[in-house]
Amino acid sequence: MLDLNIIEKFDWKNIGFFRFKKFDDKDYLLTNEVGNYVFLPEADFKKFISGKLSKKSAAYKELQENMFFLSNRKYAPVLISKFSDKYSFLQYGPSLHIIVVTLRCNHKCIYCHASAVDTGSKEFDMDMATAKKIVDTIFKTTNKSVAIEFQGGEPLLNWPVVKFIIQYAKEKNKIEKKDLQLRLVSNFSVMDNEKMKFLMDNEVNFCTSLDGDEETHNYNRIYLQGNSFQKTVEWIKKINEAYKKKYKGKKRNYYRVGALITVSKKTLANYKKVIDTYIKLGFKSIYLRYLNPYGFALSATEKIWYTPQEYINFYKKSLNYILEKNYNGKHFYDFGAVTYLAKILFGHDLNNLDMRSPCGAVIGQLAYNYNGDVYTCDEGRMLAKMGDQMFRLGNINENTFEQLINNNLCKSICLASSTHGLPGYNDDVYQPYIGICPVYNYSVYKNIFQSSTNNVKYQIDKAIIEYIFEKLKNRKNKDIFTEWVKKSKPLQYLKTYTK
Amino acid sequence: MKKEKGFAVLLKKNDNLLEFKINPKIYTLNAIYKTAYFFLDKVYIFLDGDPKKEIKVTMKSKSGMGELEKVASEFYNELLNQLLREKVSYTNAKVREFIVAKALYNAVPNEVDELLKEVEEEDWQEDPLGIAKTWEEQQAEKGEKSKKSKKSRPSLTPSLKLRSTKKLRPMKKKGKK
Repeated sequence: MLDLNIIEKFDWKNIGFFRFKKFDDKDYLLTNEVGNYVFLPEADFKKFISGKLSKKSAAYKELQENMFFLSNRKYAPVLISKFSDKYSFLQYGPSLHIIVVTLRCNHKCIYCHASAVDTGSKEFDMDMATAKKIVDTIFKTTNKSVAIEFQGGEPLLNWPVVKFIIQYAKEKNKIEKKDLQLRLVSNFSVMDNEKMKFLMDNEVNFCTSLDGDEETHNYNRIYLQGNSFQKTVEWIKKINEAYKKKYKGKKRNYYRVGALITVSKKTLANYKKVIDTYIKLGFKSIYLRYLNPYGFALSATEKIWYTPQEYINFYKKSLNYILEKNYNGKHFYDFGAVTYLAKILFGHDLNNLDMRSPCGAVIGQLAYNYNGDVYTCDEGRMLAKMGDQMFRLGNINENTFEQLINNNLCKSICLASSTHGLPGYNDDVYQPYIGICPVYNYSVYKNIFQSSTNNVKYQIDKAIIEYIFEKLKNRKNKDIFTEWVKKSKPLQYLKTYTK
Repeated sequence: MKKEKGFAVLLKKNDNLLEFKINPKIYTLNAIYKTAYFFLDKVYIFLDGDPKKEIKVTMKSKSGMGELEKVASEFYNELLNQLLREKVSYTNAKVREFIVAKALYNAVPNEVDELLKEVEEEDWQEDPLGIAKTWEEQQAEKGEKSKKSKKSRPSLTPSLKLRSTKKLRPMKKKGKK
């Protein structure tokens, strides 16, 4: 425990800005503005505060190397450079553009966040004119990198519009010369060889929903026309095989189908089977995210929900299981952990839009609904489907790009998700790594500014980071974590990867 | 009752209340606020007193005395943590501002440089609005213009042009040599 005498002797001439907390019985954890960290035993922490730490001690050297001393000549230049790198996304503007080409879906997933409608409701399809205006608007972004992501519903149910957007965007990009990426998020149930060929020829990346092993997946993802798991896996294998063939001997051979998991109550018990399935199918990572409180997920409480503590326990067990796989030579990681680890170990923000400060809403991404309505982010669009238009920026037919971006909603969201300066969040030792989602806050607490002390999502994220730090104390784990971040390249692919 | 320098705590079991008396000359108001904030989800908090003499923090339990006893022992620790955070933030405020300003400026060098370049490359030397010209020059040109009635090319970026012209050649008031 600190005492007043030590605080009064604070060595203000030499010590730079840092955040801290008593980490466990033995150590204090200190972090600085750019995410460098040091564990200090309590006795050393007190000596550090009062300027009595011997310059020859290992603790002093570690603090010096990690930029905790103002007296270090490199202090300002290094921090300026790292801070600039960490927050470089602030200068670019929205790069991720999610287009919901239809709300129709042939699955009835028990947690569906998008509140999808049945396949016969064609009035929920996007038309060509709207699609064209959306693409025109997207290319007005100030960001040199543009990622167009097709979502739904099941986007392949409105194939003509998907096809048109791909062709039109590629044509338009011949003039605009952006770094254009195209992605399809699909359950693959209506995929066929012709569509696959077209998508691959146009370098569209594939991403699908895979909730783990067959039992867990089919429990969550109900598909009346067949076995969802088998259908998904069939196409994952087929597309990966085609990728391998296409990029054989070329530098760009890292492409493979990406997958997203939604963690439900069923996943908690089956975590080993879920992870094993991902590894067996050749995935290099999994993203074990906490369930979002949108859409049908809110009404299916009994079937899918769990307590925050149950989720934290699940995450810890899963991370340990994944580490075990790595101890045995298998390279496999959790994408959420890597997002934090990139900030912790390298001071690098992978631009995972949900986990940065300020969050990616508007300034990193925009979501376009089938009818041309534009939302701050996909979560804002999901909330709108539940009847709350709080995060609607406007409509593609009524507003210019500038009007969509330069408005009070955008500014409010940036304020509400910037952990710098927010009471409670600002002083947190994990501030350099954590992000807040104002849409989550609004959805759960009816306020985009939610106190840090009782923000469930924030407390969960903190528990996860804390566990990662606990694991980092072990050298072997630290080496594995370092490899995860290094091998998670190409960063270009990850930079706008959020879904 | 726990007693530390400038800090006293009293647990009023009958009223289900916890009371802290804090000397604001030792523990800053900000540190007291932040400490109170830290316990928001556990207890109801009431602040009172004189910011120059003594601050009174009263806490009422949300779930019973057990909670209050726990908070009573944690509050002082957290107050010390917050006091240290205050010192760290205060003494580093200028350096942090400098680092952030420099980092964010450096993050957009191209845009700023491009803007400056654009300003430099502007054909301000042509000075179509005649702002940079002396009164004598303007008078002399007036005579010429009335003969030729030739218009100057309008500026594409008048605000930039005006700014750059102003900066490089201070305007002179009409009629003043």
